[in-house]
Amino acid sequence: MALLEIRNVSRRFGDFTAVDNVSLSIEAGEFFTLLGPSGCGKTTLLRMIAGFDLPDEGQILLDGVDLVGTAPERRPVHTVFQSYALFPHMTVAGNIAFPLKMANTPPAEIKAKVAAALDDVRLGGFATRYPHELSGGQRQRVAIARALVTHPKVLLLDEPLSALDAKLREQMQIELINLQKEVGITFIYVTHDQGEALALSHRIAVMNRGNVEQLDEPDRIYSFPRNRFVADFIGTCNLYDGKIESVNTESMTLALAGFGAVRIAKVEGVDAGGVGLLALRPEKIRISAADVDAVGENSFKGVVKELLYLGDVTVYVVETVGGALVKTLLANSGAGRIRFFEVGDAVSVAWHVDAGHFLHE
Amino acid sequence: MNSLPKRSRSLGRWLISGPPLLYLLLFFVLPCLIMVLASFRSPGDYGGLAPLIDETGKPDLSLDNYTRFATDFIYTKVFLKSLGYALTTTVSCLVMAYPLAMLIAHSPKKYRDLLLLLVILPFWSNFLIRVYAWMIILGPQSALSRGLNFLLGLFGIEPVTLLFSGFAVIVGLVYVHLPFMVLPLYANLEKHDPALLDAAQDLGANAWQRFWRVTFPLSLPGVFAGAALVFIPALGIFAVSDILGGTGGIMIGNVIKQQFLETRDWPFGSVLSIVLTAAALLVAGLAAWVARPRRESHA
Repeated sequence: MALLEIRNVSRRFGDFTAVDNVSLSIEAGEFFTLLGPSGCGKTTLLRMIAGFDLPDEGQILLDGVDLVGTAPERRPVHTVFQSYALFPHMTVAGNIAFPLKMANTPPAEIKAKVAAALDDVRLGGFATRYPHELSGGQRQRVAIARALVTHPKVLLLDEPLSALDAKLREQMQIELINLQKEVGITFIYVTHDQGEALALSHRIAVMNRGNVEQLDEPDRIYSFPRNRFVADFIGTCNLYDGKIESVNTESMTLALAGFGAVRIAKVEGVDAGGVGLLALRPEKIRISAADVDAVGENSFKGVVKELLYLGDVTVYVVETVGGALVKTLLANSGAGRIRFFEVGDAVSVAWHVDAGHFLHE
Repeated sequence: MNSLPKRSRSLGRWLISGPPLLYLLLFFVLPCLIMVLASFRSPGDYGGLAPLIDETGKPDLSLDNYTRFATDFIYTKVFLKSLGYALTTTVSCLVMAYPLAMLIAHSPKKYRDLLLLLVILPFWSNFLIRVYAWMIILGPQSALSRGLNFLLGLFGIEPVTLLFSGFAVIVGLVYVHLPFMVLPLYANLEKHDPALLDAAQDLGANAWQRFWRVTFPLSLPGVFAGAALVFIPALGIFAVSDILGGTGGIMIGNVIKQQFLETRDWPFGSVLSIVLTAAALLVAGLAAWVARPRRESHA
């Protein structure tokens, strides 16, 4: 049985449906992420798990017991808030001791547990500091230590890294992964940052307009998005609407505006004449000056229309002869060169038949 | 401002702060100094002060007035009673104002201004009239007095008089000073981050624990500001005790007024004023020290 079970949960605010009949099972020890744009219902779902909000329909079960009658202060679920919500009038140690005091832990035990929690988040010498004397990353760690010190069954994290700068965020991501492994507590992580979700999670639920669009492991979500929304939301993706021209034993051919015939791997349950979507990640497309004409490749001639120099890589937007735009990515690996192509260069873009991914919608 | 040269900036500062500074020097600091000087002198024959140098050429300066205050316990007693009244008033105001301030701070934004207006509405009518109104409310013929005495009579208890007593003075003081407690408390409570209460609840705190461990300690600066705004004027006031106190409810403010206007002993009145000011400063300083900013979050 799953540790946390969300069964057909809906939550409406007036005419707006924030969470629409969502069902999820989250296992013990899992790092589970709710990913989606703002307003997709992920935070509402989190607040319902914490108990700050109640579902209009459906159930939330922890260890098989419905949480509906349990007040937030009695749920074995703690939250790391986006703003950290550290108590400004308490020291770091006072903040971390707070949940222990609320649980009537004996003072001697509190002292030992606070010290251990501080060590866990590498804040050993900071016990007597006040929150305003800490950096953003240190506050973040105090918030996590405070939420973990009583070993809740589930830790909810509401966009905990969004207030940190990029460098620190990356560092905290690694720390979070290690911490979760160490303590073995189920983490439910809410974010709108797809990179963060991919890096941290065991499983991701991609949410949109109150629905779960796809629930899968990060690599599956990235490589095999189930629909247009997921493909578009996770990473960068070239998306082309088209029609299935013919279906062979191993591949099929799509007719796409601006390209003509494009071969991709066959998917089950489609017939010639059907419509769908080709999803193509930029890093799977090769861009070169020479013509590519290999077996099993799709290859098109074009011109570099725009480029976005990112330092390590350059994103080239290539316009094919037929007028389609292809976003592609190339590492700036040429020795002694800044990048390989300039705007206006004639190039070829090519990708393997298996590189594209067919979506029904 | 930053683009202006340094000299014209400091000139601007003096132009703006100069007049109020001068005003305070002339009408606050100087009278205080006169009062301090007067406290060492003796009263003139018809009020005012005796000449600074008498006929024998001796200067009229001594500690006699202070000795009189220290030895005549009647003044210390009135003083202590006033301290008690002011303290009771402060605590009563705090107990009444805190829930009110919380209610206003937690009400929807569009009603807050209206509720605050209601708090300061009494200021729109004259202070003395409002205190006289209490004379009627507490008077022997009032519904309150008669109802209370009727109830007491049922239990065989002697009737009580509400007016002209320490009780009446405290009722008046609380009524007059309540808004001064509500406003700073509201200003403080309104700024609290609601996420802190969510966090406390999430971490296992029930409603009482959330109040006692989060809301109340964070509101302490507001509590001390309100307490100072109530305690200091309540300690020195004479109008309320004049009207509602009768002979038993006399306060140090009444004694000081007596010394200046009736007994015409300015030097001794000055001594009492200085002791009062010192006590008020001490309390205000203590409150400022306890509530000194050191734990404020910059997040």
